[in-house]
Amino acid sequence: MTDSNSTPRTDRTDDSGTDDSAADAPNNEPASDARSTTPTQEQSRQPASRTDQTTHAEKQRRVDGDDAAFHCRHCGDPFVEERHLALHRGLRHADDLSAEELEAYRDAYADEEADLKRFRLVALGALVVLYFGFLFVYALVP
Amino acid sequence: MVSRPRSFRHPGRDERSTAHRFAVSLSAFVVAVAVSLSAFVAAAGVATAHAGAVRSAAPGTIEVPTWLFLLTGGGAVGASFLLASFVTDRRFIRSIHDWGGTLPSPGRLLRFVGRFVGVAILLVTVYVGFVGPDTQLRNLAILVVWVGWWGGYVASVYLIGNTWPTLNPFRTLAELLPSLDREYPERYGAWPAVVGLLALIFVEVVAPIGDEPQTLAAVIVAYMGVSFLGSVVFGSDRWFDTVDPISRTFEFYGHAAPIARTDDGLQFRLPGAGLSEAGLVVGRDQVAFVVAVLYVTTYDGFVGTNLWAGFVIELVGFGMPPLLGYLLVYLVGFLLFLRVYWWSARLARRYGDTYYSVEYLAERFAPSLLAIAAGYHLAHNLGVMLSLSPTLLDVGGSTLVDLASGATISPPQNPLTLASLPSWFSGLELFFVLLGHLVAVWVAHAVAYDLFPDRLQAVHSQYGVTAVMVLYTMVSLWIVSEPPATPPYL
Repeated sequence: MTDSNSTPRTDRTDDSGTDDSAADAPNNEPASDARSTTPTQEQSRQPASRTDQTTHAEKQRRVDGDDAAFHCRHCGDPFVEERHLALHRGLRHADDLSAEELEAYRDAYADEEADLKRFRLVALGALVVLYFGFLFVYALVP
Repeated sequence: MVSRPRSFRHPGRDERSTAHRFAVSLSAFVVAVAVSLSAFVAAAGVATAHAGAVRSAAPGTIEVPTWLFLLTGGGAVGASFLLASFVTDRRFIRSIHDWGGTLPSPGRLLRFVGRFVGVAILLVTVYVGFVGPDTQLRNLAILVVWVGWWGGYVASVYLIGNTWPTLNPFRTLAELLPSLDREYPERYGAWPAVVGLLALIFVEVVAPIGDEPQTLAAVIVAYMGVSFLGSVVFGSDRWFDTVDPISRTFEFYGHAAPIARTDDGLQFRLPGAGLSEAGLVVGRDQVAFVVAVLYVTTYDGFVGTNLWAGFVIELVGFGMPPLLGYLLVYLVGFLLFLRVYWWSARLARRYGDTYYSVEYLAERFAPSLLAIAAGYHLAHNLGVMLSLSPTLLDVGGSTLVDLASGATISPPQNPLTLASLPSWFSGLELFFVLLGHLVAVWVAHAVAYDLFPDRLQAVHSQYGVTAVMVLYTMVSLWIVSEPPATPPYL
């Protein structure tokens, strides 16, 4: 699909680099970046240490993203893009959002809607091509 | 549909916008279903035309070349993926899959009766198989196994619910035996079940258990012997829940059914809705098992095509023993299916932009294949079941009377059969193949929405699995539309 590059991984720098305050905001969020400081790492590990080892092993099997740039501070899930993390927090941890996270979720949601709109156009185009393609083929085949 | 996200919406204030969004989604969905259905009808029309051409009996039908017919089937599946991708409301998707409720569990008496009937049918089948008449359609054993059980009962497992754990006569009998309760080696997982399923279907294809009652009864007794041995060593629960291929197949098929047994009673839901749940398929072994369930039906159909007949004659020409040729192609085909499926899971990881492991993605998308397998099974067996069900009743009644009165078993010389099915029936069979694929596309859509926080990720992650489904539709439509041929050397 041509639309597959609508959310390139380089978005990460675009999203946070538009102005200074926006660039600072994600860094102030606890554990949005797993590599930052020790307290954030402790926080992100807390849920894992509370559960038993089998769930930890289960998680290791499910995701392999130890080197990921974005980790959820509630459940530790890794994400390729900041937008995925922002949406994940809004969907799965809706009751524990800080003001910045709420704002990030709103922005990510609007962004996602815009991309979806574009995708729908592409999908509609593909459907039209498919339909008329078959129409012509059926007309031409004796 | 740019409206505010769900989580910080105040219920009272935004009720109208919720209703509006729901209505928009609903209408999108209705349109999608309507368009898909017209695609079906078009495809089914083509199919009827094609089947007519195959039989070359129906005058005045339009002949459509096979390549175009297959392309239309693939196109219908691809189009349904695009249409499903228009449904982007998470709550709407979840509400479809969460719809349902619970019914009270049936009483112990009913279960006892079910078990008793299961064992009685098994004993009669084996007895009649050994001592009954040799003619295929006059022997109750053949009819019970292939018409009643494989055609009708298996369909009830995915269309109604999995009753096999209760009815399974092998389990009922095995529970009476003492058990050594040896520890089952965990690392084997479901692999023995994969091997068992492949072995059972291979026996079904190469041995004459479809027409020789004695052979069929012998295979049933052998299967019973293996089940008893396994139950004695590992305990009957462990054996039938983990290793026994038939129980496992029915368990997976049962996930597609609208009724499921839970601790609270009988849970009902929309058909196929249960397939999107997490944790249905766990580990590479179970993924391989689901792929095997899909594969064996395909192989069963494939050996009945002229392409296969030509190929195996060619192989034997090179000096290969026929059975080895069958086995080799069987195993290579399975590995090919497995490989293609894992390839689709890798595509899901790449296009979904995610840290989910390939294995986890393969596990989550695997249940959608069960809908395809169920559709294919129905398409393949419904015709036989309908035309031979009068035979089953006719021969069954007379055989039971003979058994009860102690006379020799002598069913009618020419038992009743349904002379012919209406001409549109072949169109109906192709409709079931496509219906299975459509449910599968929807299940994959719901799974992707459950997995990924970003809806674009969800759409992109389905590319691989959709490509596999399109390929698979074309293969299975080709098999269904081929004129039947007798597999050589068997």
